[in-house]
Amino acid sequence: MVKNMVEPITAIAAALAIGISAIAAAIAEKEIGTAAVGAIAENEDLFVKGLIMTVLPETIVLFGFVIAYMILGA
Amino acid sequence: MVEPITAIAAALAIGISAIAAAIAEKEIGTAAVGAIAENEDLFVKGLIMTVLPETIVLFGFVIAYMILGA
Amino acid sequence: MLKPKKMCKVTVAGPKSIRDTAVSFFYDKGILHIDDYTKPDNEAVLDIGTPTERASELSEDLVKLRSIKKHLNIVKKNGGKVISIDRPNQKEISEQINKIDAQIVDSIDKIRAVNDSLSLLKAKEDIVAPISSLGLDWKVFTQYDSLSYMVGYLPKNVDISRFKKELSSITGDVEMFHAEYMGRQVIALFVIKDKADETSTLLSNNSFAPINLKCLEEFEGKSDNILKTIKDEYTQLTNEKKRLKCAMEELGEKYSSFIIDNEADFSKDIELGEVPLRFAESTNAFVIEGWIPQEDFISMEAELRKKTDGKIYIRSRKAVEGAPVELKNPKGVKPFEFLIDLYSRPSYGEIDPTFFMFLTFPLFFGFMLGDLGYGLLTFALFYIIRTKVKVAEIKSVLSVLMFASFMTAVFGIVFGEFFGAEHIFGYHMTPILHRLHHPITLLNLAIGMGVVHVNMGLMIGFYNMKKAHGLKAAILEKASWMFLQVGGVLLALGNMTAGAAIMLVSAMMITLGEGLKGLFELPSIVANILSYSRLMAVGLASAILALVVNEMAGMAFSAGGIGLVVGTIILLAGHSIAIFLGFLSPFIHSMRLHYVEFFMKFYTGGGQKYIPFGRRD
Repeated sequence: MVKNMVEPITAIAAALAIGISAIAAAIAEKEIGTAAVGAIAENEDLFVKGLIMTVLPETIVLFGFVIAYMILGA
Repeated sequence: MVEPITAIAAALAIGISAIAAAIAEKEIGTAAVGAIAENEDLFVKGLIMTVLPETIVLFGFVIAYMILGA
Repeated sequence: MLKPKKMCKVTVAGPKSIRDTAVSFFYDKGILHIDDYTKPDNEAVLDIGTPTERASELSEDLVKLRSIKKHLNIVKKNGGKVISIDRPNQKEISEQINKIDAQIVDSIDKIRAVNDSLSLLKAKEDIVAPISSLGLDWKVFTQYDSLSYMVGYLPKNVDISRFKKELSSITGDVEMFHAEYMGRQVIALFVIKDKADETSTLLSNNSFAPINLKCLEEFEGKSDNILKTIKDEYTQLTNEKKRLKCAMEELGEKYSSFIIDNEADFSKDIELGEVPLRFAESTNAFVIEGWIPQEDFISMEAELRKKTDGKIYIRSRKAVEGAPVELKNPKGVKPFEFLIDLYSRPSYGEIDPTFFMFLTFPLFFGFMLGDLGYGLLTFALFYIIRTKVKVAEIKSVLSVLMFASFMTAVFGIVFGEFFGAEHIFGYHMTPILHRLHHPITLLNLAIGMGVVHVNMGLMIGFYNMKKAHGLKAAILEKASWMFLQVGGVLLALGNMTAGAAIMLVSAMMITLGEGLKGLFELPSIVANILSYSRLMAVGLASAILALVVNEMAGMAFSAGGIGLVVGTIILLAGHSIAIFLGFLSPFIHSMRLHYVEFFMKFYTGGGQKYIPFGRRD
């Protein structure tokens, strides 16, 4: 990787960006995922819909990732 | 060499996203195991659902790596 | 390949005399997917058919057979010696089954009785043993005129000497025996009757647990002898139980092929016999409604007519609604069908995405894992396993993984990675794109693939929509998104007016096509495309992991001596983990990209599986 001289506080910023959005996405996915698995246990055909619903919050961490990336100035 | 605060940043990046991914996978995984206990055919689907949050820690990992500029 | 097999809706009817001929014909052919007939109302002329008598008889026997199979733990062994049984008539088989059943029931009852006796014995032992440890004769525990006795356990924490002191403070007319049995304190107290109550109180204050001796009234003599008697009986019963179980096993061995073969035959006959329940029948005729693949229809028709001397009535017509779906794909693409089935079968009219998955799934996978060494290794591994496995589904999974491994190897060459390193045993590879040095390029590629994939999805969606709902709907609901992207790109490039205008028009089309919720989903196209950045993230992660393993091993190696051993272990363990993760992650993410981002652009699914009636090999 390119030797990237990053200011320490900037680095913390990037870390926070990804870290906090990660927690957010996880909290959401965990709840939905649990409910989805419960639904699938009752009806296997719901697997797909359950999967889609579970990953919907992915966007949250995705945006965090992009911002963290931009913070690092790459 | 890596500045201390930078090192902390990298640690935070991977650490916080790891906790996040773990929280999600733990909940879903528990539900999945319960479902599998009732019906063994659900193993594959349960497995897939459980690892869906993996992306979260993956992103943290990449950012941590980039922070370290290594 | 891009569409499921074409189906004809068929109606087959005829007089009852040819019904069984027709049924066995279709059973052997295995091409007819039956639409079960349900009686619309009470006045309908046609009722559901009645099963053959044979089927009902066989049902009972089959149930017995299955229960016998379970009790005797009979498992079908491949390649076992098959004792060919000449087929006596059904009555004899039935009798044989009943005989075996009776024997089993008898054995089970006997075993149960033995188990009961054993439990009883154990209970008795639990009472006699502690007493015998006190060294007392049984006769001691009888009714006395002036004495009361108490026998039981004191908790471990009760100090015997202290207890004795307390006892003597109540009365001196008391005799106490105590011993240890299985880590617990047993005591027997004989106290003068008028002090019995006080003694009881002292005992309960010390958490005394009495032993009930009533059930042992039948015993006489020293406790030691009694104990021996009990133990002997116990051994005897246990042996009896073993004997009974052995007998059952022998029974199982003797009749295992009888049971397995008959189970198979019965199942087939019952299926044949019960299928009329799915037909419509009148007093003299039967009607079957179902589906047959177009390609099989013509030859089937000719043959059936011949078999039934032309008495059969067959009609076919093209139809779409309610048709079962059977995917039609060439040999290379076929293994990917299991990925589609995991999701949902395509509905009859729409495009079968298997081929697209065949193209892009290994591509994404390889892009993410991208290592020549891993790819070659796993390709060989999966190939070997596949030759050993018989189950069709697992074979498909392995085929898919082999394709994935192949692409991994290809991208390994592109990225210049061989087990994480840049050289293959000294030969230096020149990567076309070094992942760790050019993450930006990687990201751009990933997003680029995202754009292509998503729009591929939109185009397939466009085709499906056009077919189902016409050109206007297709443009409003699918093409609109593509225009939206064009507008967005123009806007980003700086062309404000044109960009904004196109985006506005697209937004309006989307609202027209999908309603207000379509409008709310405008940002989703951005999220979907960005989602493909995971291709870069997973890719980087796998490259980094391999690199780190190599670096750690390198440090161990340069330490020398024991370091060489440690280093090798690190290499083996580290790369194994990397491969395992390296397969799990890209597999799931590639799958997820297809299921969520790709399929959501065009796929409806919900197709009914094609399950033909008849012989399966």
